[in-house]
Amino acid sequence: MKSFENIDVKSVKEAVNLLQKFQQQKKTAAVVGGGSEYLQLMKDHVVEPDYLINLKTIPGLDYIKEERGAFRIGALTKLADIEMHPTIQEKLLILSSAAGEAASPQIRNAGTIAGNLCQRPFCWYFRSANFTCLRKGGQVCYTVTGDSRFHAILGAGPSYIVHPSDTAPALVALGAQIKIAGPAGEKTIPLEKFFLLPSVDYKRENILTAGEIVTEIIVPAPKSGSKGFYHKVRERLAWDHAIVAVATVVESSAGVVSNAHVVMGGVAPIPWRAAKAEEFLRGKKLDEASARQAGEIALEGAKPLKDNSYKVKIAQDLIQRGLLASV
Amino acid sequence: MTPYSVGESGSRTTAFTGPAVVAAAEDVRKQIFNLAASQLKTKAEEIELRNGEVFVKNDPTQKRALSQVVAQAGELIGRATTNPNFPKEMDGKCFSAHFAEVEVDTWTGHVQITRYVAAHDSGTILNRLTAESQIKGGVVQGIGMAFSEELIIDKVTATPINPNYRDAKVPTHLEAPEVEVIFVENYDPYGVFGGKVVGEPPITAAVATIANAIFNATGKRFKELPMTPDKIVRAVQV
Repeated sequence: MKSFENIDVKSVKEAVNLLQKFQQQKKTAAVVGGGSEYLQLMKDHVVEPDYLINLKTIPGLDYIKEERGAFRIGALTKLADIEMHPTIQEKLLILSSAAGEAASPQIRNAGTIAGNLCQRPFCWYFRSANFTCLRKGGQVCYTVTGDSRFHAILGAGPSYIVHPSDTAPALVALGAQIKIAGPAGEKTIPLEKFFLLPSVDYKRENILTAGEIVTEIIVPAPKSGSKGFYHKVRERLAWDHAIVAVATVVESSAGVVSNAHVVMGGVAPIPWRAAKAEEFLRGKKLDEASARQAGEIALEGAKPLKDNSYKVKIAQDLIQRGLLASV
Repeated sequence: MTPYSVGESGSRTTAFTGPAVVAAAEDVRKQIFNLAASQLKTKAEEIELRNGEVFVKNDPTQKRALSQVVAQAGELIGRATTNPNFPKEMDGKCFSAHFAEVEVDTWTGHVQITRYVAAHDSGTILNRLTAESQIKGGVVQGIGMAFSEELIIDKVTATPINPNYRDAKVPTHLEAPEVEVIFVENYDPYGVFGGKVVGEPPITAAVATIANAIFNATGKRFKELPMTPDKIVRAVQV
């Protein structure tokens, strides 16, 4: 690992200023929360920053509050704390389970919610020092000719990564917003708009630009009668990324859907919202046939690579499972 | 001195190290008998050692505490070298029979082992706790081989693409079922105190047992490892 300097900061403003300063000095710098993700990138020689800005020393960024019909979650809140929080478990079960499905207990005890949303891809070509792939400034995405069993079937090209976060599909399905601090002040945007397709920019996964830091996640309390589920398929039951994950949030009465959100993980470079399936479900009676049809609609336009066509059927089935569990 | 080991394989720690330890202990015992014989003014063949006491076989009233016999001896060092080249007919044969009950989710390709029983002939069991743990550990290694562990090579560049602990996917606690271990004990005349091997047999049996259980559940034969969700989903949906 290349040597670096660690800087403990006391405020978000200090971190933003430092990021700007280092950028002007043509130095590389990155912010870390739990560090479980970023240190691995450094050990793998994917990134080699000159400075690490440690956000953990900022007081008051680790909280879960319920106020005015919304949950506010501080950027430094650990995944384990979200998973175990009694009110989250009671009112946002889908978020508690998605946080609990992430990584391993050890990582969930260190990793933060903001870090989980800002993860870099776990594509084995991206993570290997032996490949200078498109996303690392190279010429090709090795997935196209290589082993694509865990890669994208939707929304991909020219890079075929999948977004690795478990909490992101659940939060997008819940209609969460994300608060970002930067040189120009604070802004709050829908989380759905936070992620970037590779067709827009294949070198980064979200809209954060130099000097910007995630500070808070805001989750509106679900309407009464709505049910949310997070289903995840993987090779190993812990410490493994999703082959396919499906977050469903369904508002219904007497089996008839008034509003449904269906968001997939593990299938696209961003948390993939199945907007057409959501539209189809509105006003439908939810039964085995309509749930299956919603799954089929959600996967319309899927373009599997040579090794990952199996993801299509798993995704369709998981959507069906999630929807049927909601009524 | 234990025979030279070319690496940790062959399930032979007890089979190789054991005889050397036994022979070295016998050497020390012989030294003690010689000491006692001179102290009790008799021959070493006449000496018996039991319950920490050294005595003359024909006259057990002539006795001394073991600690007394060796008090002046300083350090007693037993030495022995054993020969690892067993004659062919001494090749220990160990047997096992494994049983697995699985649930296969045909939608997700996930296989859950709901019950696992491993019966082994490892001769006489020298230490039940460690022997059972060896069997359980072997079964869990077999589970990793059956479901997730694989060296994946990028065929275009001939480069391994999962050379790290994260992507090697060894099983976690969640993959490890409660393994019921049964030892069918017997006495192996060539083994140390009648014992035979325990290390590797549970791995070989586990993989085939799990594949058979999946066949029993789905009617599909898997002939390639690991049996990952992609292969299971493809097979059961044909």
